[in-house]
Amino acid sequence: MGTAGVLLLLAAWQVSVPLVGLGPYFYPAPTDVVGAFGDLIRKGILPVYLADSLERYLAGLATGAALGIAGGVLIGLNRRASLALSPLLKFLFAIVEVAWIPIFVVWFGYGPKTILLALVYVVFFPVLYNTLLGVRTAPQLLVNAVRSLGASSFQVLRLVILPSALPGIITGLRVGAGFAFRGLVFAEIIAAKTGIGYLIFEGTQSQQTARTIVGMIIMGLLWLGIDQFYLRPLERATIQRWGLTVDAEQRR
Amino acid sequence: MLRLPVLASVVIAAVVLLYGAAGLLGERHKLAALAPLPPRGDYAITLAFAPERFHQLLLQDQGRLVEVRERTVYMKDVAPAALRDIARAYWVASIVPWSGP
Amino acid sequence: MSPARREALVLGTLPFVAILGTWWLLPLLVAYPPYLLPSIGTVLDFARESLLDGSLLRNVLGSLARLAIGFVVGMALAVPLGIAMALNRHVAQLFRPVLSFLQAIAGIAWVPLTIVWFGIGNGSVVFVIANTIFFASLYNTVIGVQSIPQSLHRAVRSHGGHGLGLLTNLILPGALVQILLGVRTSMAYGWRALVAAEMIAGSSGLGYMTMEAVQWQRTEVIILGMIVIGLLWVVMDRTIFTAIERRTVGRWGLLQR
Repeated sequence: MGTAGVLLLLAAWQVSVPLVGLGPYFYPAPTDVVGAFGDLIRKGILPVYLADSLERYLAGLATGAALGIAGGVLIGLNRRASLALSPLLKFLFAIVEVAWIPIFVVWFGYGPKTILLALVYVVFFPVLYNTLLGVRTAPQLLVNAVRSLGASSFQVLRLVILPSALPGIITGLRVGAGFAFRGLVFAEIIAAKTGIGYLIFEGTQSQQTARTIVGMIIMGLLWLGIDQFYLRPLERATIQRWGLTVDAEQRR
Repeated sequence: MLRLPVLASVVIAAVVLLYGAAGLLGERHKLAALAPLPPRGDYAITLAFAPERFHQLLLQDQGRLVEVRERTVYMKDVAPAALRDIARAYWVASIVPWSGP
Repeated sequence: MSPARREALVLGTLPFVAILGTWWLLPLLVAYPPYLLPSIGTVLDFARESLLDGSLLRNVLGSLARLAIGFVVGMALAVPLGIAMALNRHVAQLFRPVLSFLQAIAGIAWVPLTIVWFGIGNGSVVFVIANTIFFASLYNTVIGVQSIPQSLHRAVRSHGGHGLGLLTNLILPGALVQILLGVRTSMAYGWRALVAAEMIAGSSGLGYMTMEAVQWQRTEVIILGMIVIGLLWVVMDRTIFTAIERRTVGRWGLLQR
């Protein structure tokens, strides 16, 4: 039934092309898109762009998450620090990463640095904020109990604080991963010479709209894959282990 | 519990490894007649199609791009490591020494 | 004001003061070309200038108008389809894979294509926002309708409610909570899409203003744009979205979270 929906869409698209009759620059047919896909593979463009995009995404995600978790724990352990920094962090998060790209371009030029910074920025804040929340809500009773049993500060961190912050960290990661993926496409449109975002942009620039659509489809599939094979299992695993239900899927 | 991510990562790693291995095989095949490689060489690199901007940009990083004629790109001052990089790309059909313009 | 709140307020202002102080002192301590980071004075001058000639207000209002139109269009499409999907298994099964795929490419990736279709300007920007809002709220509508207890369905039916009556008396109000709760997240995506789309495909607005300034290296314009973008979101979030969230939760009680 679901496949029928996809097939129906494709059929409607193919049939509507001669009816619209605007030519492949305005409205390429599915067959044009398949042709463009084959061409991009044959010419070795797609593998390189895909690898570049994934590399950038992973680098941004990993750096942003690491900084966010570390920052969240450090700030969260100190009540005053979290009081002092929360408003600033909220304001910085409100300046969406998209808005930083122009100034990054002035500072670092069109290129990989600008893209990486934008991704780190957009992952950093949700992870930091949710980690902070998790650390702040770690039950003081448990902290005291473990400490009275002679645990060192590091052990308190490892045994009580990190586990209770973990669901928050995962939530932050999931939000950040979603924003970062869209951020990646935007950053590549503005500031890259390779990558799936660049393919989407360059396609229409060079009058090869079918290539743009190939890029969009690859992007969609990529996100579905990341979501299905990484983010959802990760979330399910934390929920099962720590008994937290935030995901609407679970409720049904 | 986390079987899916592990499985996906293994599949991706396998694809990347196979891709790399296929590239290395291609490299040995295309460079077999050229050994030993000089420290700097001039080459005519023929692709399976007329090169686009994408291919020219990639090749420019590996040496001095002199000229593009139909499917062939003429390059000067290509170091051995750079030539191996070029030969690994599956869209490079053949590489022959070039005696200059 | 309670001492705890006063402490939070004082501590919370400190980092802002520190940043402004550093920004003010930096040109006195290190030498760098002023276009990299304009002085506070330059930014304030530009702020005053653009307020007086009305250009800032025009850009802000233009952006907000596009956001509002995109929001209305996106919602007007998402709510009926969401209800249909929640009520009819066949519709849901037919559309789900297509929609979840299209959702994955929602937003900014459409910009190059919309430039081909609608040209640079409002058409492209509104399309991207509507697209983003549509996919962000579709899911919430489906969940909203599905979370209406089956017993309520039966109760309304047994009192003779069906068709339009069922829709207006049960389904719309029942789903409203979830839809309203989703507005904040949808808008977070919509806001990003707005700024991003204006940067690539806009001919006015805050995003256009900031990106356009890159060419002339007018960093004071960029920085003012960033501050306005941040402030505007904080204000909208506080006054509209958080309020909606609190009211809906207060009035209807949150479903088991």
